[in-house]
Amino acid sequence: MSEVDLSPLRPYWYPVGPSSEIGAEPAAVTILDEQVVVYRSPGGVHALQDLCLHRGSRLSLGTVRDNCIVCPHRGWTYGPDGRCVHIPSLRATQAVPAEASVRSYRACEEFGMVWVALEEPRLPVPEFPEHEDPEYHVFLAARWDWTASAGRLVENSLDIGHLPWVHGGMLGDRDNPGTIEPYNFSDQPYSSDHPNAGFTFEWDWEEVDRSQYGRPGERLHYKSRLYMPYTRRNTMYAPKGNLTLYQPTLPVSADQVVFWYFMARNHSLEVPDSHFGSFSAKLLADDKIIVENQRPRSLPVDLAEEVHLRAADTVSLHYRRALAAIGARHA
Amino acid sequence: MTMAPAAATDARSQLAPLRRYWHPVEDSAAVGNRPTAVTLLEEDLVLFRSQGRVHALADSRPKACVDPYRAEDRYGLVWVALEDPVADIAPFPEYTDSSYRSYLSVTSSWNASAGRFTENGLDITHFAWVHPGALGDRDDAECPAIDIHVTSYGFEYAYSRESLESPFATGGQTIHSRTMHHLPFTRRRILTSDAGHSVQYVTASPTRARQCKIWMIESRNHHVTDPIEPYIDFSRELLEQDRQIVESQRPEMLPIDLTTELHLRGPDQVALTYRRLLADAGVADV
Repeated sequence: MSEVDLSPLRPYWYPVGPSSEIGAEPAAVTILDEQVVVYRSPGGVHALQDLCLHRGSRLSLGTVRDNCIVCPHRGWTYGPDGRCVHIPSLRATQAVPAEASVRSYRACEEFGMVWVALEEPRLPVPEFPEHEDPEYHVFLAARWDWTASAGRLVENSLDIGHLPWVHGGMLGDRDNPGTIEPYNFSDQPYSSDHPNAGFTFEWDWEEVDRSQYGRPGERLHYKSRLYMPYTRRNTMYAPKGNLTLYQPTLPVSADQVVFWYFMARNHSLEVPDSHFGSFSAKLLADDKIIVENQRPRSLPVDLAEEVHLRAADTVSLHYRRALAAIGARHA
Repeated sequence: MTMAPAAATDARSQLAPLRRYWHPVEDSAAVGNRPTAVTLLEEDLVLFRSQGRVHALADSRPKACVDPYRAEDRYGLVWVALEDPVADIAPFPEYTDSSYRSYLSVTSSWNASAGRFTENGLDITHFAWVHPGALGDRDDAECPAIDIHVTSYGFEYAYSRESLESPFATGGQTIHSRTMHHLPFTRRRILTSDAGHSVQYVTASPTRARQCKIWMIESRNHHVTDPIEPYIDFSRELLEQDRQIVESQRPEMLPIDLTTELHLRGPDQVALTYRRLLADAGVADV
């Protein structure tokens, strides 16, 4: 996969796990092929290169002491800024070499997740206003690990044309797919120097009776938001209330992706979360088979590489153009 | 891990300088009249015994067309050299000394290069961290003075430390440790305490670029009637602690270029000597 260049995707925040899972034990994560150790100390969450400079051992096998991480191999101790502050084998009179410093990354916590950026992030952490809204009940439905690129996953999630086909019987009807037309496309400028921070679009759909979201014959309104490059937030507006899916996504490598699936709703609070979670789990299991088998595994950003339909592929085309605008050739 | 043919060829050529050394490939007891398949330096070999002598052939071509490789039984292991060896098999005089009790302690396969495995075992500063309590104390991990010098076969070094409670000694004694390292991958370490000598003969077979098979043979001239199981359990536990860390090291092969990793004057003199001698011998990353 060496011909796939993912470097334009580095300066963004990526989720690495729920805050509850980043605790006293250091965690190993891979972001765009870079091995990172994430750990928590009294000073907050920190992310460093997961490789001791001395003998290339994995710091994530080590321990956290005060604000530092201690290498399991010979105790080299690194602070949150990546500087080595202590080498136990040296005599007290010997100084730690000035060049003993591993790469450090920005880390933060938002919406119950820990986020890491490999380079100065060009955009904020993707919004999730429902998380702080007291009217909403939020739960983490699932974590998924797919053998697919993040680009293929996200494009499939955005593409409403696939719903009756892949999820016939659950969402839509394969014998009568109709046309679902997105409208109100709007590009979202977050900062003046970023050409494309994401986009939103809307669509309407007549509910079929097998979905849990509305009632048969009801007309539902949807708004999808894509926060570049990979996080989707999708809200369904039904007569009984709103349901938002928030899908923070970690690009592990050109063919591995991890994502988390949050659900937030301001209705049906008496219904167990598992009811909503299991419905979406079935949908995603169907998607997984399709997306893991797409070739090439990386999403080709160049529009000449695959065949597109002017109307049906509007969302995909929008997404690929947005990726092109941030300099990505693969995603 | 199987590699694409091109990658395997690259790995073989990178490992080519190691063809001129003896390497252990199998327990002697495991090789009989029937062929036994082993891998050495990314090359498939077949071993067999006839009239008591062990033989090694390439396993990839018709048998009639290949010259046999040099093969020897020594210290309970079968050793093979793929080309004219530049050095002898590392000697282990205690193994045949009747005042010593000798036994195969541990053998296992590692997902680590033979070079990474070997350097870790040579370097004494990892003891306190990877084997706390058993071989060192994290709160007192300063590297002692090490007396090191280069020899015809590799290098030798010695130092003294205070013993911790272990099968080798009771706590609080002075233990003198002397290691003779034979390039590329065999060390003989003699630990001397008031009780006598305990010898560890540790060797690694570079089966593949990023995999090795290891053996530890132990020998001692004290406590010779003790059951050996506690000693074996102790060594096995220590090696499993090493394995977890060493298999994580990146790059996987020991970088001979000294600028790739950071070295400390003093604590790293053994590792530096090892890497310099490998480079002098024309060996690439191992």
